[in-house]
Amino acid sequence: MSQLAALARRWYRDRLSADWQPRGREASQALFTAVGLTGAHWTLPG
Amino acid sequence: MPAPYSATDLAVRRTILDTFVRGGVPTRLSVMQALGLEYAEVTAAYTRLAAGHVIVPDPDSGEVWMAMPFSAVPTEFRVVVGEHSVWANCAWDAFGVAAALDADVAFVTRCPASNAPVRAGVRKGVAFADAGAVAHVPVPASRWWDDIGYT
Repeated sequence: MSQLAALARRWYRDRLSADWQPRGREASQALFTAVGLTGAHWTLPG
Repeated sequence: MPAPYSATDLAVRRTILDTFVRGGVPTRLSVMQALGLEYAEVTAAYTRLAAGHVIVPDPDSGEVWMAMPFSAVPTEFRVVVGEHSVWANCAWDAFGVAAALDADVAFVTRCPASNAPVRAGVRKGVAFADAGAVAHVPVPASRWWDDIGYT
């Protein structure tokens, strides 16, 4: 749960920002890696 | 990189999210009224936002079903924020409500195996959950959008 919460904190913290822009695949993948979610299961489609 | 959205698309997105934040459920009519747009303009924005996985329209009604982390329909994740509550799509999104709002939240869901209640949330900026609680993400990331409702 703590790992998921850490991912959610990174994933959603800009969701209501006035200057929000969509996040690209590489940036999203980096968020998984930052919280230790790696490997095929956590690899986003190219 | 994802395609940039128009100012109208971004305004529609923000109106949808702001409605959820207030504890409401956005409709195309409410978005039209809030922004002074025509039905076709809102529908076109919905189509573009859905293509980018920013929102998920209900396949039957065309209204917003999900605008992550929020859900327009009740789920197993009712997230209490201050004096009101919102629906989140999953545990990830329930914690995401706290992140998006920069607020403490609490939610009670059920263990899908035992049906036992599981309490979790964010308090003073720190995530908490019942001892032993584990979140499963069974669908691989590469398949999440095959059926986002199931994911």
